[in-house]
Amino acid sequence: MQIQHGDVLLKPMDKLPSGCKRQEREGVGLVIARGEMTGHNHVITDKGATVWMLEKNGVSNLYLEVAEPVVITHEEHKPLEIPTGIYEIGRVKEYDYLAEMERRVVD
Amino acid sequence: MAKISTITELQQQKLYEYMEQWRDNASGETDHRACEKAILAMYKRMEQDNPQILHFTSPILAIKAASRLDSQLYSQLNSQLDSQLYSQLYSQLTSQLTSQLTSQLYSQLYSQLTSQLTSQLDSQLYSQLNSHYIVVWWGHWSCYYEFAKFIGVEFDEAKLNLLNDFVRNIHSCLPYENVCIYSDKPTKCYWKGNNLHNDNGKAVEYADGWGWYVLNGVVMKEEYVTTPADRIKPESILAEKNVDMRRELIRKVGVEKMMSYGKIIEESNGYKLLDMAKLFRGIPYAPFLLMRNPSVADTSHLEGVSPECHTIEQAINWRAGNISIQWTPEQLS
Repeated sequence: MQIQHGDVLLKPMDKLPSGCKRQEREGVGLVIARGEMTGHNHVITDKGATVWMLEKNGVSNLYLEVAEPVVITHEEHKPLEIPTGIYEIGRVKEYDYLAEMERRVVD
Repeated sequence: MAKISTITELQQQKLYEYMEQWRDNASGETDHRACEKAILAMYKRMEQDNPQILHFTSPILAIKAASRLDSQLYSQLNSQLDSQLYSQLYSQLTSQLTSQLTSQLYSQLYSQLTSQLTSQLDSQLYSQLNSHYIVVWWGHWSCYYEFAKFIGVEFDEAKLNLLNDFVRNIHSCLPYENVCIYSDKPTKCYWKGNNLHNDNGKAVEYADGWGWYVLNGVVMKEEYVTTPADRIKPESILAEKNVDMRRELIRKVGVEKMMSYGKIIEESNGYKLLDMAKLFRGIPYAPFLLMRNPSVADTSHLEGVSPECHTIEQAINWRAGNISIQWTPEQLS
């Protein structure tokens, strides 16, 4: 199931890529994505989820493994339930016509 | 003991009252006697001697005063205070919370409580003041603990009272070994629902005039709030990199007005694909996707997409990573 929570995209996958490293929970829970300007984060406080990171050629990709349904929250977005499964964590991008280049959306 | 899994309508009503109380607590008069008491209690807990206590009218003045002190001493005690608040109080109280609420209810309450004032105020203070210790951050947790206690969660009372007294009174502080500097609360905060908001000036004001500008919970540059809508140029709106600030500028200027600068290419299911090329010198085609914000009422986003995009479907797919791979989320917020 494809899920979009604000600028965070959860893309379903069959299995985790090999070589992923488990990410630690921080305080209240798993921070899936941070708001650079607002400090508002996309967070999973339930314990049924794990975030994995794969670093390859200087690029870090994040993955979410959900063992039992969990809820993702954010100060400005309605909470969503994420079903069990494995997801690639993506971010929405936009095109900057002044710089004439694409970039990740900044909030 | 069975975990608490739901709250009643009456309890939900009460939740709003708790949120309002903590929201009101964020501004107004500072009770200096209560502040001193809370600071001394926290220093005692950290096994520190009583400090000399100084207060200033805003966090920025507190920081200026503190800059004259030894920064190394500051950082040592700051991390100790952090550890005291975080590891010993917050994590234990939260563990009591999670052990007595189902994860569903925990998340539901967390979501409602973190959208209120203190988390906004904190994140702005934190981003502006960076490493200086900001206690207002804990307000929504104190609110959560108090409400949880009301619905039956049992806490270590001594720890709960120590934390809540500190958070209730201290707006922000810089703890040193022998000196503790704290700031008064803002004299006034302006609200629209649960968000800081003032269309006409600062949304958070301190007694000395310092503060900041916020629209619908989004901290804005001063000129974005003080410049009349008809004098804000569409080019400067599209040049704003932060999508939330851009959203608020579009709301201020008006979606219709922004659309008048573009040409509609396609319109479907609440989306519009607009060519905004006339705002960019030398660019023949500049597609932007206009969409309603699904979570914040009456707001829209206008985001540039690749010039390869000629349909709404392509634009949505491109934003999600690949123009040729369908992006049709079954859940969206």
